[in-house]
Amino acid sequence: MAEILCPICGRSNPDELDRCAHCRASLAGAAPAGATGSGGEDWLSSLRGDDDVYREEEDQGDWPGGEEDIPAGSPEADRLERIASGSLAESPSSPDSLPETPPDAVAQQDQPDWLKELLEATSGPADDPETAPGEAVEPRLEEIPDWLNELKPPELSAEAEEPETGPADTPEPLPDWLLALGASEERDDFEPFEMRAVETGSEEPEADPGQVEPEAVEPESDWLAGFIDEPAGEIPVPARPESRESEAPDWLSGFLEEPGEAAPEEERVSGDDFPRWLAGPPEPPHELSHAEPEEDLPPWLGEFEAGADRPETAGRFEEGGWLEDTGPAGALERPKFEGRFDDTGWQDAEADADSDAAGEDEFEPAGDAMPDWLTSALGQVEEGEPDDLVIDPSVFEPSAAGEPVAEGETDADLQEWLSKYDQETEPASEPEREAELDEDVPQWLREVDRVERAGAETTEEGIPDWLRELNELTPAVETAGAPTETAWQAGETDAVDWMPGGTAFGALAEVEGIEEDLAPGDLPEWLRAMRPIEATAPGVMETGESDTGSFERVGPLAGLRGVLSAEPVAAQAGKPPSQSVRLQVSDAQQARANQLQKMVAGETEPQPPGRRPILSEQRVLRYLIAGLLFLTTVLTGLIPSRLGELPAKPPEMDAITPLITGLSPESVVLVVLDYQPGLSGEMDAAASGIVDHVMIQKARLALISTSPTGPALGERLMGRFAADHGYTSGAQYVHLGYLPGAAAGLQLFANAPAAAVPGGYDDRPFWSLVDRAGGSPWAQPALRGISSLNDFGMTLLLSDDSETVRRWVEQVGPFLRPGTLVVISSAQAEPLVRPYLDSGQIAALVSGLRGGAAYEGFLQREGPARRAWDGTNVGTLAVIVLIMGAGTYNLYLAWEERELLRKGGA
Amino acid sequence: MVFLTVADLVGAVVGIVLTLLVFSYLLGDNLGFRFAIHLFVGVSAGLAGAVALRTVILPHILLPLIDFSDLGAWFQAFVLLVLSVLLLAKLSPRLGLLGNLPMAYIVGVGAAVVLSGAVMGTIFPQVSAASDLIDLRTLPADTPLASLGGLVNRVIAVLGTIGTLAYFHFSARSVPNAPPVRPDWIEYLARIGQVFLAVTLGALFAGVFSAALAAWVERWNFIVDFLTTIASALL
Repeated sequence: MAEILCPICGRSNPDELDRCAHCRASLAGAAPAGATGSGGEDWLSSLRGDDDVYREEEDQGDWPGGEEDIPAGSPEADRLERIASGSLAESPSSPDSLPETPPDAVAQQDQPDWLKELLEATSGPADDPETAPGEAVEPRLEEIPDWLNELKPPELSAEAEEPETGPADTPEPLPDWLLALGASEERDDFEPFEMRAVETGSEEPEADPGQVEPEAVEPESDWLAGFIDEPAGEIPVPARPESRESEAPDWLSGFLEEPGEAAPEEERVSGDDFPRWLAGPPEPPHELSHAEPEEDLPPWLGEFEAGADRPETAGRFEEGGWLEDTGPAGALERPKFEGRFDDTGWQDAEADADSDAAGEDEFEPAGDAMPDWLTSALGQVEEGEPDDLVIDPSVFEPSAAGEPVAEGETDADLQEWLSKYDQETEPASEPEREAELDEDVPQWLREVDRVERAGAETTEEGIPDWLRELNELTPAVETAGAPTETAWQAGETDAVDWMPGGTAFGALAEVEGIEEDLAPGDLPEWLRAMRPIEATAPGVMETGESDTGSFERVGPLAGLRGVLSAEPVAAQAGKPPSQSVRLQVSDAQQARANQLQKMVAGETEPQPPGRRPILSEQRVLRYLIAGLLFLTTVLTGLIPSRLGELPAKPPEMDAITPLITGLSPESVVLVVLDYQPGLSGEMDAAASGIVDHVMIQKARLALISTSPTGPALGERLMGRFAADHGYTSGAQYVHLGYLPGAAAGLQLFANAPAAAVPGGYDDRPFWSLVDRAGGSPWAQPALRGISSLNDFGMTLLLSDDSETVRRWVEQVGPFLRPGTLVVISSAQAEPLVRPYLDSGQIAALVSGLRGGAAYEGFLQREGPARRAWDGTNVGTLAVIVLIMGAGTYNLYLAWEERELLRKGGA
Repeated sequence: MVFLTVADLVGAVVGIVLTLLVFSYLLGDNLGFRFAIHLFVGVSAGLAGAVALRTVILPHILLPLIDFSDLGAWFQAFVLLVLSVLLLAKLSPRLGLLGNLPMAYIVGVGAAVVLSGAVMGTIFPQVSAASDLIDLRTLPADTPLASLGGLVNRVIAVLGTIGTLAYFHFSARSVPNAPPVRPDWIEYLARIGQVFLAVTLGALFAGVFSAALAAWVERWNFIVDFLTTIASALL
């Protein structure tokens, strides 16, 4: 098949086509593939002249609009000049930079690939000089995306892809694939994202435009008529560019600042040819013109762009809105039109808009150069009626290929053309439109339309979640007065715009106020975070923080939002805040604590002793007992007569008499004085009779003591009886003195008496003690013949302690001559000494005063025992009486208490 | 007529005054009582020191050290001196460790002597004596009544001895959820021994009372005798 090159886009096309499949440019006169040269002669060439003319005008600085329209030096002129100098200087279409290249071609060279593809896909309609304004969407219907092709039957899909498909002006019934589409639309598993993604893809615009061109004409005119017939007050006016720019995402703002790239994007394929739900929400023109390449956009965002392209024709009738949109927008958007547009009428309007923007930011009609409809529209805008008037600036744009409008085209022609279009698009009445819709719309589409209308009117419950989220993400757009929610977004309608007589966009907008719901494209947060950092660059990075989190600034995740960042946490690491440890105490708690503290402190404070009675009961009792004992003992002592006889000698004393009577003057009796001086009265009374008896026998005595006070007691004892019996120290008796060492000393004394007691207790002077041999008691005549304990004829142990007795019995007893140990003990030690008497270790036992009195009675002598005997007996009797009286009194108290208890219980 | 020397007179007066000071305790704790007590304690300590010096230190340590005629006695006296000096180190906290040696010697020797004396002089003789009570051959055979009385007395003595020892037997079986209980027969014997212990303690108390009462009477007799002597001398 032979191919020809499109004079506009330079792509090859089959020679059978009369229009470029890529840019929709006329291929009449186009050179076959391989030939050079521009396009042939067509209506557009006649209008705009050849490129040389265009370049001449640009070289002369003859900007669209002409200096004759804008006075030199006026703000408008300066502004245009400034814009032109800025944009054209950067634009590759600048005649200075590329004088040999058409501006559009140069722009295409510098444009990115995606833009080129987009231009190729959308250049067709704008180039067609025969296309009425309402027909500008004709080729868009041809650009059936893949998803539609997939929905179509294979044969139809093939036909759509083949450029040789049948003529476009043949109205055909709705194809089956479209019916299938309608059926699929009714499914619940509707996936708008995917479908829109396919729809907005412009990679396959090769569908034969002629196939659907006749079908697209009438619907186009219908929805355009909707705009025209719409009351002035209902014409949506887009928000002011400033607000829109602020509302636009930053990455979009970045593109908005590139006017050289913006112009071709406005010729993108519109979605007017598709159902509105497929085309997506109509976007404000200026946003659509700056849409990113579709490769960089998510599918759903492409819907916005497609939707923005769709009202391309509508923008022609909403020029006022567009002008207002572009006028105050500043210099960022305007150059994209000025550098390539030759329409003086448009320039007039633009100049007027600029002048207004420079002044009060209000739009004024362009005057004579402006068509009536535009004048009226501008007038309505000036009145501030609607804010959502959408005027697509692409109306005033050159063709997608960048072909300038012919200079010869006058305002009158344009006005006439527009008037004709007005007449052609005379809106039918509502019933008529519905009737037409009913006629042309297939049944399934009507059902879909009806169902979805009903759903949209009743409630928003039918709004998909993703759409609801999208609406929530664009509150700023709503507050700025821009269209906040499109009919498509709100789910109010899914009417097919392209359907003849159907629910065209304008008609729907009029009826349901769709434009009021238009929302600017806004990326969801998660999608923003996925964009490369270059796309977000300056604005976003300056913003730093957002509602959803911070941007990651470093690392491989740089540019992403919502990433859990470790840096702030690490930067916050430091000394933890100090917490006060002071106890928070209320007043009541403090009062209780003070009270408790006082109680604890009071426990340790000394309390004054209670006043004791002068005579307590116990003290009185003590006095009574003492007085009784005193009277009994003293009075008894004063009485000269004896109150009673002495007791008889007890059996334990039976062994004493034979022992004593067996003593001779050669016998030596060992007398042990181991009692305390306090008990000397008792011990003296107990031992006096026995000692006296021994002295009567003229036995020698050896006194010794294991107590330090014992020698003195021995001395006292001998002093009492020695004189009576003629005993002298050293001759009849010897004082061995103190035996140290307790049990060990006794053991030593038992084994070696002389070694244990080397010296005696005598009245020798201190210095005489040096003569050890002369001073030794063992050398005294009293101890003559005594070398061991066995040599003693008798041992008298005077002790008041049973332990002393036990010690002597244990340590010395075995060394004594058997049956010669007589113990004279205190009455208090008798019970513990008696077992040794019963065991035979002690020969006899004299216990206390009673024993001494008994022995004195045996001797028939009156000694100390006898003198103390009466008093002791009376005193003992008195004590017995006291004990019995006290016991009786205690019994009485106990009985009385029991009686009281018994009476109390009764 | 008793003639009193000045020393006897002074001694009697001092003795009477100190006796009355001690008896003043019947009216409560007073200065005279405390004075008499401290005087007794001081005199006793001084007397003990003098006695120890006169009868122990000089004849056992010092005099042998200056008498070199007997080297054995001298060496023994030197050892005793060293041990005594080391024992005095107990008075100093820093040098107290040095006193452990004489203390160990004294405690060791004393324990050994007491233990051996207790075993040989008390346990064996007392066990033997207690067992002899059961020997009926030793019963008095004078009269049947005496024999019966001796038998009863021995039974009581044996029962009292066994019962008292059983009272100090503290071994018992452990019973779940109950205090340990001794065997019944030990418990019964212990109760019998408890009776004998009570009687013994009563006898001890009576002995103490009797000893104190005898001292009380002796003191008042002393005072009465002195006053009677003074009065007879004056009259």
